[in-house]
Amino acid sequence: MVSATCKSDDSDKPGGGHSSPTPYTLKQPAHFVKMLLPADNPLTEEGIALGRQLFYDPLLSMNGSVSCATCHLPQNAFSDSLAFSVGVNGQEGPRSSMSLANVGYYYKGLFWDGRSKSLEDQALVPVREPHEMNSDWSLVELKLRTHPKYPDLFQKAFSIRDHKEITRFLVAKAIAQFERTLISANAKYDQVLEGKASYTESEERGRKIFFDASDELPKSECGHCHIDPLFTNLDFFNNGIQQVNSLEGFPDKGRGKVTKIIYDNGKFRVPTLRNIELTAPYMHDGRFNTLEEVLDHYISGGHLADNLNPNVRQLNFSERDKTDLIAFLKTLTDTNFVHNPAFANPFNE
Amino acid sequence: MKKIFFLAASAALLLAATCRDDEGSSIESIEMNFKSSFGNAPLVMYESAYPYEAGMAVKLQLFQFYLSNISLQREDNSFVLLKDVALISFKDILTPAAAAEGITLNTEGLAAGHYKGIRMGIGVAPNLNSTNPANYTPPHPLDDNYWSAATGYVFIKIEGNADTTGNGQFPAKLTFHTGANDIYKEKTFQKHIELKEGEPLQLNFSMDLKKVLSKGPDNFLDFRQITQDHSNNPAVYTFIADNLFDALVLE
Repeated sequence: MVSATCKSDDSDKPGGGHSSPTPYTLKQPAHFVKMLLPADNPLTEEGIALGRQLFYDPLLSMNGSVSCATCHLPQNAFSDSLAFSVGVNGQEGPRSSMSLANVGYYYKGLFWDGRSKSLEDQALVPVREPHEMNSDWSLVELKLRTHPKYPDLFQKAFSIRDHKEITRFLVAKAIAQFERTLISANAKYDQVLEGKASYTESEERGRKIFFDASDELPKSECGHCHIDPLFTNLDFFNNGIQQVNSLEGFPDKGRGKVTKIIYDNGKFRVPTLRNIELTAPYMHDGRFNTLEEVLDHYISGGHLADNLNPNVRQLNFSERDKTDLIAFLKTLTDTNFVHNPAFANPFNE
Repeated sequence: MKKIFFLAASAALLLAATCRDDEGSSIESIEMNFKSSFGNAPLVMYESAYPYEAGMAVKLQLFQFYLSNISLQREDNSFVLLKDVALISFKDILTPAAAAEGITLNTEGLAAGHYKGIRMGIGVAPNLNSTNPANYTPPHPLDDNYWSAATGYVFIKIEGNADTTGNGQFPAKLTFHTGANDIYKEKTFQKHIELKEGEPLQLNFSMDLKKVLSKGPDNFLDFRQITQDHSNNPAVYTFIADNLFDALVLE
C-alpha cells in the first residue's frame, strides 16, 4: 500500500520528470574577494545559457530593437562608447552605461546611484524604462511564454512545469546568473601578480604613482577609491567633476536622488578601472573622452563642494607622470575577457 | 503508565538540573555603544564646523577605526574573545540625533558571570593584518580598507576639510590614513562587569576626535603644514594612533 501511494508520477514532479539543471561552479580568482551568491538563484549551466541568450535578445524591448547588449557590448568590456546610452527609438538616456566586468562582486548597489540592491533587481529595470527598452513586463512575459524555444529553455533552467510559470523574476534570475560569470581577472596587471609577466619601466612607474607607493614619485590618490583588485571600492563619492554653488545645484543628484540625503547629492559609484582603456567616454555623463582628460581633471583638484571627497586634491604631475600612469591603467585591459566566446552573442553562433 | 511517568519526571528533573542558573552556563549578549565627539560637541559629518587649534576649524567626512581581539577579562585574568575584529565607522553620522545614538556593536554567545574588564586592540591585529580581502566574503569588516602597496589594512581613517585661515572657508583637504603593525596596541579597561542571565548588557564608549588630532595648543597636527599622511611619516601616524588609544574611553 505504501509502495502504491509512493508510485512515481511524472506529472506531479517539478519539471514533469525532466532532470534538474546542472550545477555550475564559478571559478573565482584567488586574489578577489569572494562573490556573494544568492541561495535562491544558484548558478546552473542551463540558467547561465538562458541568461546569456536573454541578454542578447532584443525581444525584451518594445519594438525588438534593443537588448541588454545594445548598451553593454563585449568589445567595450560590456559598456558602450556613448556619453548617454541610447534605447528604443533612439531615445537618449540620462547617463553612460557602466561596464559589467566583475559586476557579480558589486554588493553595495548597482547603477551609478546604487538604486538596485542586486543583479536580480537591476535586471527588472531596463525593460520598463522609456529610454531603454520601453516595454512592459506583462508583454515580455507573454512573448516568452508563446515563443517557440523559450519555454523549453526556461524548463531546463528552472524546472518549470508550465510555460505560464515564465515570469519576469525568472528572466531576471537567468540574466543575473549570466552576469555573475562576467569575471575579468586576466589583464597584464593580474599576470604580473601571478609572476607570469613583467611591467615595462613606464608601467611600473605608473603603478607606483597609482598606488602612492613611492616617496620619490608624486601621489595620484587613485588607490583610495579604485582599490585593487576590483579597482573600485564600490562606494559613492563626489569626485569634483561638477561645479555647483550648493549641494542642491547638481543637475544629476546621483546617489542623493536615491537616499534623499543632501550630502549624497552629486555622488556616484566609483566605476571599475578594469578595461578602462575600452570604456570611454568617462564619468556618469561621459564628459571626458580620453584618459588624459580624466587625469587633467584630477590634477586640477576638482570643483569644491561641501561633499567633495578630500582624496580629490590638486596633483603635481609632469607629462611623464601622466604618460606612465596611463601606461599602468592600460595594463588593466583583459583581452581574454572581451573576446571570451562564452560571453559572446549566441545568436551569432 | 507509572513507569513512563517516573521516567519522564526523572528526565524533566535532569533537564532542569542541567539548565539551572549555574554561573557560566547561560548564553548572554553585550551591546557596545560608541559615540564620538569633537571637543564638547557631538561629531556630525559634513554639516558641523568644529573649532580647532590656532584659530583653525575643521569639518569631517569620515572617521573610522578598527578594533581587534575584543575580549572580556575574567576574574582569573584569562580572557574570553567576544569579537576578532570590528570596524567602527562614523561616516553615516549625519545628524545630532544619529550622533546621540552612536554606533552599536553586538556580541553574543557569552557566558553569564562576573568579569573585571574588557580588552581591545586599536587597529587590525597582526595575524589579521597579514590577511587581505580575498580571504573574506562580504560583508565583512576586512573586505575593504586594504592598502596593497603597504600589504596591510588602514587602521584609522580621518578625512575632512580645514579652515586654516579663519575665514570660514574650508579648502584644505585632510586625509589621514594610518595603519602598520607597529602601531597596533591593546588596551584593557578595568571595570566590574556582571553579565546576568536574560539581561543584555550595554557598555558605552566615547571618543573625542579632537584629542586624536591634538594634545593641546602646543602639540597638535597643524593643518597649515600638513594635511595628509598615509603612514609614510612615523611622527604623524604614531601621533594619531597613540592619541586614539588614549582617547578611547569606557564610560
